[in-house]
Amino acid sequence: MSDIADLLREQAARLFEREIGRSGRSDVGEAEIPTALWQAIDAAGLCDVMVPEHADGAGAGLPEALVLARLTGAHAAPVPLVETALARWIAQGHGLPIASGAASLAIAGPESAGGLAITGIPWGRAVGTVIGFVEGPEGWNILAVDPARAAIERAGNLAGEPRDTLRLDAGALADTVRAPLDPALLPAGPLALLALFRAAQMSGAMATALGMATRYASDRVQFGRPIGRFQAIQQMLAAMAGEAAASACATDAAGLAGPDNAEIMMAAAKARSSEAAGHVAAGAHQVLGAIGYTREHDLHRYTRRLWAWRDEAGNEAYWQSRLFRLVAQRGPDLWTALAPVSRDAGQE
Amino acid sequence: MVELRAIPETPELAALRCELRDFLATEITAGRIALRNNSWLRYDAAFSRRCGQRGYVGMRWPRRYGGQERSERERFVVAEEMLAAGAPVGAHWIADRQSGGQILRFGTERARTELLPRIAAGMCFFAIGMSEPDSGSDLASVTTRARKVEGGWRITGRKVWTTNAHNAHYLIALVRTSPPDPANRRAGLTQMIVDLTAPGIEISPIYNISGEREFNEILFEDCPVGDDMVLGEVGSGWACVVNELALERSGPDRYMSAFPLLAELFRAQISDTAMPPGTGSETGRLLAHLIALRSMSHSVAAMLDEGHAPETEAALVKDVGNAFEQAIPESGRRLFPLSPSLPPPEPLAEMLAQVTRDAPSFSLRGGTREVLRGIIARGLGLR
Ligand SMILES: Cc1cc2nc3c(=O)[nH]c(=O)nc-3n(C[C@H](O)[C@H](O)[C@H](O)COP(=O)(O)OP(=O)(O)OC[C@H]3O[C@@H](n4cnc5c(N)ncnc54)[C@H](O)[C@@H]3O)c2cc1C
Repeated sequence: MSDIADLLREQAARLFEREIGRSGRSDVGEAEIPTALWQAIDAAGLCDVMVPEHADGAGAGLPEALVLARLTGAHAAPVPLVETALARWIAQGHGLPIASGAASLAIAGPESAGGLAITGIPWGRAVGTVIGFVEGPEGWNILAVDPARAAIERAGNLAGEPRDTLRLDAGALADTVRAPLDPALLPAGPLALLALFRAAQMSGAMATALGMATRYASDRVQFGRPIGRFQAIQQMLAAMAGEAAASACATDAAGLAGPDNAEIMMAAAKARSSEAAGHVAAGAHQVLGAIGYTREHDLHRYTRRLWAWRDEAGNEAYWQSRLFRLVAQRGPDLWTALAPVSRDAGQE
Repeated sequence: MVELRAIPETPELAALRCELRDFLATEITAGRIALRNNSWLRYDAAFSRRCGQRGYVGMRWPRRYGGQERSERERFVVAEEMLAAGAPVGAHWIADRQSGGQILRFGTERARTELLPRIAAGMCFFAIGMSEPDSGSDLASVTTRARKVEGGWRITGRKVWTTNAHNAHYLIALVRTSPPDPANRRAGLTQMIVDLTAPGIEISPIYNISGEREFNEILFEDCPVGDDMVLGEVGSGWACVVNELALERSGPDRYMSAFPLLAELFRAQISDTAMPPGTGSETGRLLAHLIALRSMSHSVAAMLDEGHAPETEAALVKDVGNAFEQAIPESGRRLFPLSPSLPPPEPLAEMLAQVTRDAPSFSLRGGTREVLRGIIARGLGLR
């Protein structure tokens, strides 16, 4: 991993530990952005990590941004940081306007004469711009939507995170600035990118849930010894560690993939992570017993997000099928499809 | 705690992949090799010889011992390509994967100069002498013993499940060199290189559930071993064997044993236009697992290159990898309503039959699932 990634990891981890401990934890509804936490994040420049340096960002690439995404998952940070960072990067790269402050992004339904609906927008109620992706006959279009021009319906995922709907009428839609998606920037398309970032967040949440369960197993005494001494508990935690590591590695690998391989690797990352999420969440609840099932205990911050995130931006069944189709397009030889090499790689 | 990090494949590694693909294509076109699942158990001395000539055996070792001074990540690429093709690498596999590394690290200068160049040439094959009838997972309980004599040792006892011992030239045996110490069960053990043509050795076949001669029982009756064939300090065998087990566990052979079946399922599925929609997710799930595992195993190879000893990570890759290998035939039978059958009415049914029978061994050989999870639990700080 690069130096930027290490720096980012340290800086962001410290910030989350300090600020989420202070403000985020009391905020059980998780429906509003905690002001102090958000200000600290914005002041640290984390929302601009992906924006190029010439546009006053940190110019970080996908691997570094994924490190940040993993941390938001590991801390169950109740903020649209991933969304804002992606929205700013995409807006900048497509010359689209974006309001200062929090932003979000989502796949939009088809455009019609009556307007456009965008559902499942993370934190839609609390952001200044929503980047919407609309698929048209000539490919994807990117819209910079002003939520003030839209009707908002509030909703939430099963972790209580806002997932709102915006409805634009024909007039508001006509006034909305748009640009065709640049494949150099998003070679795998928008859904795979969103899926990869959810996968990275899941890998972070899995690491924390595993850590909580492991610590609890060392502390909790039954039958005169820590429950972690019982082999049944050890085997469960070891299996969870395997699932969490598979998710982390698949996610990392997708961040490193070249443009030709990007969607395949992103599909694998989301499929593997969504599958792992269910196992790790269930295992953590089993190890923590009744206390882990309470609202008071922190475990649900991670497990409820795992259950929500595994279905967002395509669940594992969706990405497994998609992965199969993508690999199948490369022809009947599975190995060369999975491990493609360019014949002149050696001469580079 | 376990932290595996993916790393990119360099252009040099990609070039090595191309080289391997050309080599294997030539071998296949010439009809010189038979392709199989579980191919790292398939003995083909002539093929191993050709691998040795091309520098694909003992790649990491110093040149003065016949090696190529290449990296573990390069070895990873060679291993993946061989196993993806189903090439019969069984003759040299164990020597290349673990025995050679043991000799390089713990062997005497004489053992190194005498054995390593022959292994690297693809001409000298090894077997693993750990398990005994009463010592499986509890390896420290071995009772085969070595008695000190002038200039060497004499071994008496019995080893079992010794893969390819009937084809190998040497065995690295874990033996007791002093009586058991109840206070420290792991003390008093030593690893020794045994010449399988020495007097006092009787090798008899054990047939696996497919009726194949995969492994053996070996009886030792006062079998001689020279002092210069001892690995490490006398009595330090436990530390040696733990190192050997770590070499055994993280490579592509722990998730590629059934790759030819997966490739055949894939081929059949995309050419079957009658396949109901939605069935892609069954195979797609396996592909996602494989992609994740490749990244995990590659990352352990990089840790080895950096000089780490990733014992927990290796156990983790093997545990996750074995579960994946075992899932392949299960998915296969859900996808294709054919009964696995022999002899071949069609290749897919035959492969399905083979792998279904091989599959139980995946989570036994090289440390059982339960033992591996115990190692992971220790890495998590629970034991
Ligand atoms: C195909 C194949 C090839 C092999 N090749 C070789 C070889 O070349 N050389 C060699 O030395 N050995 C070889 N082995 C042996 C292999 O290493 C052993 O099978 C393995 O270590 C397990 O030992 P066991 O079979 O005696 O089972 P046991 O140790 O008796 O275990 C039986 C069951 O009990 C479980 N168990 C045991 N102890 C515990 C515990 N503490 N906690 C929880 N569960 C436990 C095991 O996980 C397993 O499920 C091979 C085995 C196979 C199947």
